[in-house]
Amino acid sequence: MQALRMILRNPVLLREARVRMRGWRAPALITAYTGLLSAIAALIFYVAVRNDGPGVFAPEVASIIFIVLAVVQLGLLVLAAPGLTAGAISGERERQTLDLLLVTHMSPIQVVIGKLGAAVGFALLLMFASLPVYGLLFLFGGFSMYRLFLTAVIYLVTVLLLGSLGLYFSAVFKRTQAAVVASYGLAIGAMIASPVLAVLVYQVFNRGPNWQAPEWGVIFAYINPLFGLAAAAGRPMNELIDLFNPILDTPALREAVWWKFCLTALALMALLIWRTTIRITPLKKNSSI
Amino acid sequence: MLRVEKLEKNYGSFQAVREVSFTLEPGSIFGFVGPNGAGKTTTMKVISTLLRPSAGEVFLDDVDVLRFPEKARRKMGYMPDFFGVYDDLKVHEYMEFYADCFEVEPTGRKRLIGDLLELVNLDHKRDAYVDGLSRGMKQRLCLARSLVHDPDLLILDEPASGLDPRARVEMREILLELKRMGKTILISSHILAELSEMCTHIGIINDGRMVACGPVHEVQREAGARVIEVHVAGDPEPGIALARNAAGVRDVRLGDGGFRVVLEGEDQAAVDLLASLVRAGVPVLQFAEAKSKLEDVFMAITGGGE
Repeated sequence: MQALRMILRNPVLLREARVRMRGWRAPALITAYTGLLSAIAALIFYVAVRNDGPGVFAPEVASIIFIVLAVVQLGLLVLAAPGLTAGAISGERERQTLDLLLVTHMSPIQVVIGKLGAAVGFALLLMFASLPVYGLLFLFGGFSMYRLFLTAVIYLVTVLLLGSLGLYFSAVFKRTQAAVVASYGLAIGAMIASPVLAVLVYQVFNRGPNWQAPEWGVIFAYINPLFGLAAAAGRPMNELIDLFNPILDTPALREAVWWKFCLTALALMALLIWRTTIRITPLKKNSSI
Repeated sequence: MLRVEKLEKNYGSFQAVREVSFTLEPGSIFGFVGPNGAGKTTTMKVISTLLRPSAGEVFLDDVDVLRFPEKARRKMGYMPDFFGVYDDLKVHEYMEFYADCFEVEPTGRKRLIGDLLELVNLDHKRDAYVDGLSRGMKQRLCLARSLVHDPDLLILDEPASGLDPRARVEMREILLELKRMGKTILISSHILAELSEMCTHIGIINDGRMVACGPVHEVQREAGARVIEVHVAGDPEPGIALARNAAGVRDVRLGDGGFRVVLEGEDQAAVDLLASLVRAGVPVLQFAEAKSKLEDVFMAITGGGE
């Protein structure tokens, strides 16, 4: 309860939220975001109706629209999250307001949580804004509320992880530009490299057809939100997880990828927040103030 | 109120602050003077809990500032030499944000912010965006921000830098009003004339060392700076050149209608200087001892190292 109060009554969060929602940028971004998702859904729907004939709409099509929307939404959030936080600390430094903030009664962890909360809050707003698009798909069935919920959990955890990554680089680098490049470089690089590394690890340790590879061979899958989403969204997207069949040889293990991703991401997030806090704590030895 | 003991700060092999010690009495205004790079800002940042010193201790009342920075921050307000503002906030929102950060009770907060804005003459700008304020107004707003939690000690690093003369006068009036309100102020400035008008104590720092410290009149006396004002008919340059090479002269500066010479030593040094000027044919109109100003003390102590 205390932690929740610390987040919700955080002055930094409230200020960022107030400033972010002021002006035309935030409504324009929300409109563009939901507009893009709606356009994608409408296009797939149009193609399906045209192919199946008028008056016919198979529930599987709704399922496909859901999967496409889920992946596109993940892609948009991956592109947005580091950008929302990569300038959070370095921007304060460039604006010469960080010192003023650090001599207040706010602790460095409160500053970090406030910055992260503001970024996550905006990403959540984008997700909520896209709900009507998903709501339309419910008319046709083809996917469950449970899967939609798990998908939302993956989004939230992804935003927390990438937001923390951006925040960390923002504390490490003095310039926002450098923090943005490092955040996107690592986030996108890890997403591309993790399946490759997973395959490489598997191949390096493969000892023949009857060999049972250890589960840590797919450790790289647990840091990739795409695999987390694949396991969370269910059929037909979870077929992506079948890539790891030689190691994850039971449906339960394959299904578990979503929560293992969440745990790994939350552990990494905690580590990044801790290091960020150390970085901006005055009087600490490793402080970069 | 504030006690700084043997403070040191090293950046690699460079010693920015060397064994600096001083104390501030409650209700005093302590002027911190020194050339650029002398260690003023570093010392103030250490006191403000923003920088870890290499050695030394700082106490604010009974609080060990370096061990309990959170407690110390409740008693001090800090205004850095360079600072930014959140452009996208209105003046009252800016103040409310910092009131939140300083955990100021919501009850009576509106009145407090109104009073502070009135103190710094910004009450008419309450609903203006911070971005649209002039530099002087931003400086005053930053000062109001540093007062929002009613600190006992104010640490002001060059609060009047970059201000026009009118804004400087306004800032000085506000600081004197704060003194009347019982605040203790540690202020650094390059505008020595202003400091001499409002400071009760002064500390002169040079090359990281505190070279003089105490009540203003005591420092002036101890510095032993004797200033001779020389007025000449015509070009003062030959006289300045001659004075620079004379024995016992610490510094020579161009003045209105002549030059000012900072002398050390007894009357004989002044006599010798006058004799050498006359011998060299410098048309001396007036040769008189001037009242020692803070600026002269500073120049005498630091050897004109500005």
